[in-house]
Amino acid sequence: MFYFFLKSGGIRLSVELTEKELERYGRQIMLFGEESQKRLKKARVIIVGVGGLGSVSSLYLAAAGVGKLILVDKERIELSNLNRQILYTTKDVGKYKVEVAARRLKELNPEIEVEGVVDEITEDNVKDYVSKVDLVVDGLDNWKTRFILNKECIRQKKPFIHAGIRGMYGQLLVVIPGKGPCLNCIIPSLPEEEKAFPVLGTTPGILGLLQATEVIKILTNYGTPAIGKLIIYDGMDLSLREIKVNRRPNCPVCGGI
Amino acid sequence: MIRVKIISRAKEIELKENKIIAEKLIRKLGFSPDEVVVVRNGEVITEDDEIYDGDFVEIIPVASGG
Repeated sequence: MFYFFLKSGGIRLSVELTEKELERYGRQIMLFGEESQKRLKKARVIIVGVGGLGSVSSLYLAAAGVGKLILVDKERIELSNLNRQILYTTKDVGKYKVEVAARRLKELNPEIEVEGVVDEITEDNVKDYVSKVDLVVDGLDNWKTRFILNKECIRQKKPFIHAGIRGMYGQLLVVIPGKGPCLNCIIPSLPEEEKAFPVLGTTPGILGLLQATEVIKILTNYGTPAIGKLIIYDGMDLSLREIKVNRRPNCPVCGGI
Repeated sequence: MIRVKIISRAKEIELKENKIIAEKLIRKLGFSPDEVVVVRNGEVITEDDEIYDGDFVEIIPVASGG
């Protein structure tokens, strides 16, 4: 496991905003106020997978001023990633995604901390990763790891923001443990895994932005999180549908809480 | 009559059946149970659950990519 740890010059635990931060975040402070901005500054978020979804969500969460971002991904950048993984450029091919992503996000916003870890989430390490943060963002491309994260987030009662994409289609589910359905309520058995799926670059862009929006709302307590709604984006007819979904009382993961 | 809405195909169909197992419905529509979520009257059901006359069912494909 390698770490790319880029420490901030600022004092992260401080709840005060500097003059520079007040200026940087001025337009969103106009929207939700300084207290919400301080909540973002204190927040720690992990983004698991910095591919198509994670490139976009991490960029906007860094720009919004989330105090600490932990990025976990074990892969290196490939040329075929570049139609959608917009954190990376052609000269980055061959480098670790988290290394480039951490540097890029720090360039965008030096006020925050960004930690990039070359690793994959497993049953053995998930507890440690989730315990370090306030919220988990799903940027994964496989169900096995998503189910591991969903289960641990339920156990530690931390929000889990799921998205998945294919082609011009994608779904989003905001999991707030105990308040709405978890991923396992919606998808009771492990779906078939698909490698090298077709995808238009804008699809993870849109879903990643929806994820970042929900993360910011939850951290700032601004607006209403999309709990109990499966959000379906379909670029083929440009529609965004909301399917009301309930908790399953007999869900083996969240049924007991 | 069972009303079925297939989200990815943006269409709605009506089945003149009194009862059908979810898995049979999924396969009849050309999907595999592994690739869709079935919502019956707003609640997610499993492939073994039954769907009855008067129910409204939504078939929602799930995408795994990131």
